[in-house]
Amino acid sequence: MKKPALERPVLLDVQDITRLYGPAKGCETIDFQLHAGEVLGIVGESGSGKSTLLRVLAGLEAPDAGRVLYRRSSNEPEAARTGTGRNEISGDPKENAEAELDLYAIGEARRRALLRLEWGLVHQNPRDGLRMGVSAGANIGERLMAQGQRHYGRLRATGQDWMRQVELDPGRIDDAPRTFSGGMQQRLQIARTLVTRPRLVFMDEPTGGLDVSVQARLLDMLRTLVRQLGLSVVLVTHDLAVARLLAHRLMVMRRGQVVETGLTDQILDDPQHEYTQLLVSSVLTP
Amino acid sequence: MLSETGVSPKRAQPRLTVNGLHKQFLLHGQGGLEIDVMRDLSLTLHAGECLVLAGRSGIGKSTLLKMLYGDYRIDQGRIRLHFDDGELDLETLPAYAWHGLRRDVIGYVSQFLRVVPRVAAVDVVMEPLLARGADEVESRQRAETLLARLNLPERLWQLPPGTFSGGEQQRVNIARGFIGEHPLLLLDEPTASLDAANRDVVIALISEAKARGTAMLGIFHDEDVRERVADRLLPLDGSLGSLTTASQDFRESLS
Repeated sequence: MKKPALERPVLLDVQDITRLYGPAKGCETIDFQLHAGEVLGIVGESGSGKSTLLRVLAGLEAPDAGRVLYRRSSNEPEAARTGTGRNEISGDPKENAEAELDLYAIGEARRRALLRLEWGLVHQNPRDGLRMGVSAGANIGERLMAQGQRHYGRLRATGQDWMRQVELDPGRIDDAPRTFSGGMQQRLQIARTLVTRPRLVFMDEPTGGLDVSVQARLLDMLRTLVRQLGLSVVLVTHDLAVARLLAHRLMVMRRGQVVETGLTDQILDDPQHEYTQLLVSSVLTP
Repeated sequence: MLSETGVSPKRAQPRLTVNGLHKQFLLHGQGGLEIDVMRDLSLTLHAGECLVLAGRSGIGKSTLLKMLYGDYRIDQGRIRLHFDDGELDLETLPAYAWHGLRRDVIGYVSQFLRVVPRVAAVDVVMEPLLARGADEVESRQRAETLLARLNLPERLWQLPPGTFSGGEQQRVNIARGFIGEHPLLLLDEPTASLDAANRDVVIALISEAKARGTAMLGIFHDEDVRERVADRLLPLDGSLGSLTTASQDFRESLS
């Protein structure tokens, strides 16, 4: 039996990120690496700074200090394969795609192109991630069009295909999201985000605010999509059960700082830090 | 009765060695209570053998399996996997690498099934194959073959196992654990809630795994099963169990 290949390239290298709104409000000196194909869960109570950190990582809010480095060397994402938008991100047509990008040093235009072409963000509230006034199909097609796809028939077929993938009735492709239930809206947001085959996806409490029965269905879908698309994910959640089912690895945050990191099962079954022990033992198990 | 000094299969090479393993739980919420649950545990496990952990019930035999599977941290001691082209130390393995190790090398049949609520039994069973990128149709067939072998009624295959009886859940769990044919398999009482017929199926699955060269480390309370599957017994009364009440799980130790 041969030794398994366990090394995974680093996709995101987060160095010493600090973003504070006030003393212990925000996040402070956060350091970690996300490897390709990994689902990293950031857990903690509200006010722990996990959402602030996610906003910094996802390119939405510049940190006070520190760097977010994105390494594009490993397997080319869809956008790069088709050639569209590649130069838009690297800035220089001659620069090769293996470059390491410093998220807040590359400038607004290139950062926006990166978020549109290679990254995805799933908001807790689907209304923040969807255009409520335009049809479901247009919502799914928008990111593809931003990548340069223009063929109406193909966009529509892809839209229907993705509605099926997230278990929405493709017959409702022309309906506006506001006519959908909360769970359906969340699935539509996921389809809209994943249709461009992003390499890296950020999720902020993706199952928060949904009924428990709807949550279970969504969790299963997310697990399947992560596997099928080989996604790398940074997931923020306060729900340890969600973290257990989705995340390979966890980071526990408290008052803006990381108090413990490790394999998900280790954090939940053998927590070391006083706060993690308190957090884990406070969960109600029916 | 087999003993620890029993002869190991001749052709076998060590697949796993454990040296001087210690485990302690420190409970901050209970005034920093320290519970020693494991002292100086060592073992060698070969390809194609089933080593059975022996010792009083409740002394924490599962703790060892959980350390080998990465559920519990390895505080002190060494756990090494041996491959044709080198060794792998688990106590220094970075967290991101465990995911691949569990997918390809170490399998685990736990006592309890933990799944996403709405997922059908057959999908639960085939997931380890899909995780490796296996073909879906083929994976489904293998899952159904295993479930049929374990006598799980076909009408249950498409239902989520959450509502199943203990024995039915256990069989789903066993099918999920065996389907991946991992070279190292950890078995935590896989026959605990099974009837005689299904116990025989599990014993047959273990024999077939041995023939494939699978190295297995298991806990079996049923003496008859133990006699039939064990190549060696590893007595643990000296190295497991605590001075205070034994703690198997952090949660249990709090309640």
